[in-house]
Amino acid sequence: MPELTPNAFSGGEGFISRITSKISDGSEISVDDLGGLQQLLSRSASSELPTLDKDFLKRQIDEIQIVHHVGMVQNMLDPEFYVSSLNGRSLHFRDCNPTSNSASNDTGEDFSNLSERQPLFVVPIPFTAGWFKERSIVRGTSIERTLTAESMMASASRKRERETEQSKKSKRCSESAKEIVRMNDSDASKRAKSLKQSVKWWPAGCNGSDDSSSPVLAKFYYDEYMKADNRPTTLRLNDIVETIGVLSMNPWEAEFCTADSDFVFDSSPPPPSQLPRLHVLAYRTIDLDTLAHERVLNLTEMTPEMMGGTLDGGLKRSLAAQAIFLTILSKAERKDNLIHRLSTSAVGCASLKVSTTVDSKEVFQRLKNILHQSCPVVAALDLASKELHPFPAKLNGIIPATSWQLPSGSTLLIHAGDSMQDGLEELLTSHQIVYTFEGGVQIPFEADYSIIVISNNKTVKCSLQVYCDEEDLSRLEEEESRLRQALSACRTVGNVKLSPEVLERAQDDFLSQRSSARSNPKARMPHEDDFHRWLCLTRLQARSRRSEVATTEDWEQAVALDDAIWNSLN
Amino acid sequence: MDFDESRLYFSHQQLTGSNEGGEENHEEEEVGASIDLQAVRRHFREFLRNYRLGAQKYIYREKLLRMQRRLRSNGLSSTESSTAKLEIDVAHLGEYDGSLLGYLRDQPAALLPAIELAAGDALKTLLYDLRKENLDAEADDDMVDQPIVSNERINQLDNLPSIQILLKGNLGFTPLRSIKSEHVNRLIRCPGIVISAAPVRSRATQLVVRCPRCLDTQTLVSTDGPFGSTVFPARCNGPEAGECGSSPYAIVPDESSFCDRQTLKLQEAPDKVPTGEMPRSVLVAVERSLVDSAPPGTRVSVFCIPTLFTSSSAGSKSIYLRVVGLSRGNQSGDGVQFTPVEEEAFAKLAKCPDVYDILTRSMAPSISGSYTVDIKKALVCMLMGGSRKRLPDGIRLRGDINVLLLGDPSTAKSQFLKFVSRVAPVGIYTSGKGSSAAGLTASVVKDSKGEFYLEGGAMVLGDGGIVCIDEFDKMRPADRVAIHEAMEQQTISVAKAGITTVLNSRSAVLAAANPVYGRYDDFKSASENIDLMSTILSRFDLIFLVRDMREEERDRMICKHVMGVHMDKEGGQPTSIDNSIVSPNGERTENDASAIADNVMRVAQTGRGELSVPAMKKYVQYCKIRCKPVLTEAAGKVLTSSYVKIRDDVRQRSVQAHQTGGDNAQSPIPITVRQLEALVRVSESLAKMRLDSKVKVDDVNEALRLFRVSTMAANSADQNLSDLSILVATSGDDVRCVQQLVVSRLAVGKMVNKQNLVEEASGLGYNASIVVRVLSAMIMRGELIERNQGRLIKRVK
Repeated sequence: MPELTPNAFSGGEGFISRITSKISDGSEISVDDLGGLQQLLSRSASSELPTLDKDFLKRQIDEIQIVHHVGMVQNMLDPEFYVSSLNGRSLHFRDCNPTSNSASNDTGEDFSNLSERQPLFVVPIPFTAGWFKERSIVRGTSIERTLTAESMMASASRKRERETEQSKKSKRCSESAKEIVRMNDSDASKRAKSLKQSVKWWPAGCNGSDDSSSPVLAKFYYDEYMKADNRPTTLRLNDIVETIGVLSMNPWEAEFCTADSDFVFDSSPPPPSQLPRLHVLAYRTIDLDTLAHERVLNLTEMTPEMMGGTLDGGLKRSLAAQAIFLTILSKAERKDNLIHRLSTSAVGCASLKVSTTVDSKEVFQRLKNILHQSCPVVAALDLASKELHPFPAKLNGIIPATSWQLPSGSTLLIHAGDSMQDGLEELLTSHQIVYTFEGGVQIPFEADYSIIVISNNKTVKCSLQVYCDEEDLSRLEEEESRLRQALSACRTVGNVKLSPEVLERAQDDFLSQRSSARSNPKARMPHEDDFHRWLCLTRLQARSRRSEVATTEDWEQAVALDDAIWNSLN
Repeated sequence: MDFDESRLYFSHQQLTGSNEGGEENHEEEEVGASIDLQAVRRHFREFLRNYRLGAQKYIYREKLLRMQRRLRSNGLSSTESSTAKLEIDVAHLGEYDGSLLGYLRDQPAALLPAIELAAGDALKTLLYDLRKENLDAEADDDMVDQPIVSNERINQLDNLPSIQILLKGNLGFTPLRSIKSEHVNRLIRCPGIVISAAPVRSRATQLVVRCPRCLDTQTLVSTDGPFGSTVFPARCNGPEAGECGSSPYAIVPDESSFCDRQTLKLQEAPDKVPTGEMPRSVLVAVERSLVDSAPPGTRVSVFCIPTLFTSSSAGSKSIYLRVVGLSRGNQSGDGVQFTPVEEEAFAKLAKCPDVYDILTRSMAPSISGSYTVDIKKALVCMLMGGSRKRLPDGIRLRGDINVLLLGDPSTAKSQFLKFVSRVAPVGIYTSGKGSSAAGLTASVVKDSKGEFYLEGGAMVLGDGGIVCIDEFDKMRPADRVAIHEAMEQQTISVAKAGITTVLNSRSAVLAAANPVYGRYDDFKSASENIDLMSTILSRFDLIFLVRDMREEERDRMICKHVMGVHMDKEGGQPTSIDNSIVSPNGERTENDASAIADNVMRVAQTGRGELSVPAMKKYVQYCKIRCKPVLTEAAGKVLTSSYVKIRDDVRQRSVQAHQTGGDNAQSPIPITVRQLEALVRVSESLAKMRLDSKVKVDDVNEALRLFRVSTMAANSADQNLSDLSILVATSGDDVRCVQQLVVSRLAVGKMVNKQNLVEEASGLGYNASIVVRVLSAMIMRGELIERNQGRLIKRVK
């Protein structure tokens, strides 16, 4: 990022209105302006700018309106080219048709002022927990409200009430959306068509997302950002992205989607009334944990001792509760800029298989409730009742919403029953999900989720396995109120480093156990998976005490926990 | 260039209309100069007439005349000659006149119509010359004095077809992801995979329209390009224009001219997609002879002109590629190019006497252990592949080597697969558990408009490379049967939803499978451990039984690997298992040609170290492209005699097993002529890796050795146990008794003669075969170790 001049960003409405008028006048947005917007984004965009949601869309919207939006990249469309200047006026960051001629330009046109932008389909974060949504709404309307630990405790009891309210609200939203459609489109058949298309893309409240949020077709101007920052981070699928952009609701675009039917293999996006366009001025990717951390209050009051007390007092008395806590604490630890394709395992991520003799459906429901109170994004899939949960596949330009497409750091709870869905094994062991694209091309994508599978099926293999009964669930429910805080505090810790002492000790222990198992046929022979699990547990032990360096004590605790789980299973 | 020809030489200075001075100002030319298309036409005609390779090989003259003869023999007229095409190598054009190529690269859409006309002109002049020669052979000397064949006389020739100019050659690749506005309307070359194809449609090139009232007829020529349009006159041009009303003309289809046009979707190869991003695809338009030339699943590289079409009224535009040349990807991937430095390094490496060892140790270097050495050698052979053959009767024999790794979990099988999928020029990794028959072969899909189109599966996408199928045993049997055809005939026949076609799947298969019981059971025969049909097993050239040998060396290897994975993410050196580091922008740091050449040269000169993954990948590509070894007579004789001996041995063992009453007398892996072909392929691959065009006797011997330690070892394990398995099944107590006997007879640390121990046990009434088997199992478990070449055994625990 280049150095900003002192008056580049003064903040507040003056700055925004200056940007707005520049876009309106067709003036070039300078490097300083973009830098200022980037600063605004990292500082307090949500409080200084209106948040793009369903409520905002109901209002009278100015021609040039700069808004703030947070969502997940759900789909990437082919890049499009636009005329960047006309008669000395800049046409960046807005929809503008310089010519009414829509015929193809095979030859003879000057393309020197053509620029490229990348449209991405950004949707509300799926499967967000109630408390996470609540805070999101609070932030969006800039109404400060303090959530205390007590209020969080009380929120659980008010859950049913809130659900009723949400369903009413959802109904109201749906009616409002219909009203907007009615206002925008006069032709009934066109409206029906556009509604049908919209439903395919991302209907309101789809996949447990906040139904008051709105999906957008965000257009990213990477070449422009590059002028302000030499190396912008290109967004990836399933990234959570916070954006500041110019809202475009021009319905004109919707009427002329395609030039020639022979050109188009893919479905066209719905009209802006259904899917607003957002011309992104500044953006940043956000870690789900950071977002959750901002929304959990009183964290500063939470000392390591208090947290240790929580865990020692409650969870450590139950192996299952401890294993579940460590699993939802797990997160992928990757380098910032370098990503290994087809790595054999996602370091840091854990999957847990929960076996039980009590009704697995009940365990699923109770765990679901506990996780919804603790984790920001929880996708609960009941594979026992529904046979098919298709993995993400792009067809005709659309990736239909599936429960498997989640942002990094999500929690996935699966009630597998006795079935074993194809491809689930790869997800559980390698934390990868294979996406299918046109032409049958299959590409594995990282699935950096904490995964808990409730199953008594022996073929379901996870990195951890534990037996869970009534008492274990009660133990977790007792600690439910503090789990959220503990998780939020611990998950924001960076990558955990294994010290040389730990590595040396781990190697010695592994080799000696292998050796002793050879001499004693009844002894358990540790394999590669076991060693990997021990190191993973060591990391989680360190993370649970908010440390970035694992010690030999963590290793010992990890091996002891593993042995205890092994003995309990046998 | 032929200055001795009796033609006027058109220099490139004459191509631009506004260049008056002798001094050339390139910038000015680029910005403002309009090209004199007539000059281009004349100049290109002379190129086609005069360009020659060597002394007298006028390749384009010959091509044009050959094309003309072919069209005539097929009885095609000019209007129906969609096959009238001429392929031009851009390197030839650049060699003849760099400026002409430069103009073609900058303004291909403007130049191509003129060039196509020029090809017609060239053909006319050639035919004129030929006729003249035939009519008056003695007039040759007079022709020299003529400045140029006049257009009037040329036009008197037959109605010649319009010739489609197709470009080919070594223009640098522009990945689909990198196409920007600066590439619009310029000539580029893009690699990719055709993922879908729309039905062929007709495009009017010349429309004849007629007013129904006054019968005034007009001929309208459509604008150039696959989506070119025609503007209809708004008013009648007849004598009574006012009477005919507005838009009076109607098309007369019978008198109009049309050409074929098809739209395809081209997608970047999966291995080129940056991590976390989706594969980029683009619409592609092909015309005339290129229609139906690339079915879905084909890897192609296209010479194309990126062109814009308006995709919405908001003024945004999308790109489609107008194709002016299409070549199918060769077996080494996307038309790879080698720099002179790389070629020098590769030649040096090929001459190393230990190139086989270098490649072997470069194969998944982090996976060690004595049991992996032969597997790595087999995988190197697989990467190289044999020579594809076409018999006189048209039957094709595959050159790809299929390998099956069958064995215990935690023996690095999957890591081998993943490494091979990365190091192979075209590598597809898939898990059998989640793969269906359609996903592996091909399927017919309905698009948003309800039309059916074909989608290639993993075996089609892996055409020319290696398809790695993990968890092969977990596939449904019906899905496994679906790849029978693909593995041997290397084609996939599709007959669904009215689409009947045959797709190529010339890929090798590397599969990994676990035994039936998860872990290899020493007390069960190989056929009981392998739950695969002999029809599929016989299609594998080499089958390895991978056993979890419980030894300290292996323990350390596991330890090193797991710790490497955990340390890697902290910023340490990436492990060799996964050292392909992809930056978010998809840039590969080790792919630099000079880095590859340095790495190869250093290893070749010192004989130490390992080739990096990109270096190995490129060397494999180089060998596959440059070398097609054939069997020498001596090698052939050795192979024949060895094959006969192997067959004889198998037969004798089978007879013996049958006599002892074993049900498993028939081996699970039949030794048939397929295995002979396998031996030929492996021998060829060994010659190929040292760039030798001749397969020597040593290659055959090594191929035989690999075959013995893999397929034959798996087979003979079963043969030896065929009778034993029955006994084991009925007398489990005997096995336990023998084990107790061995333990009681042999204290820890003590050593005895193996034969004596067997005889002693036999004397006590135990079956000798069971004793031998129990001893082998105890050795496998690490309780006993062999000494003195297996004559002595020592109890270690």
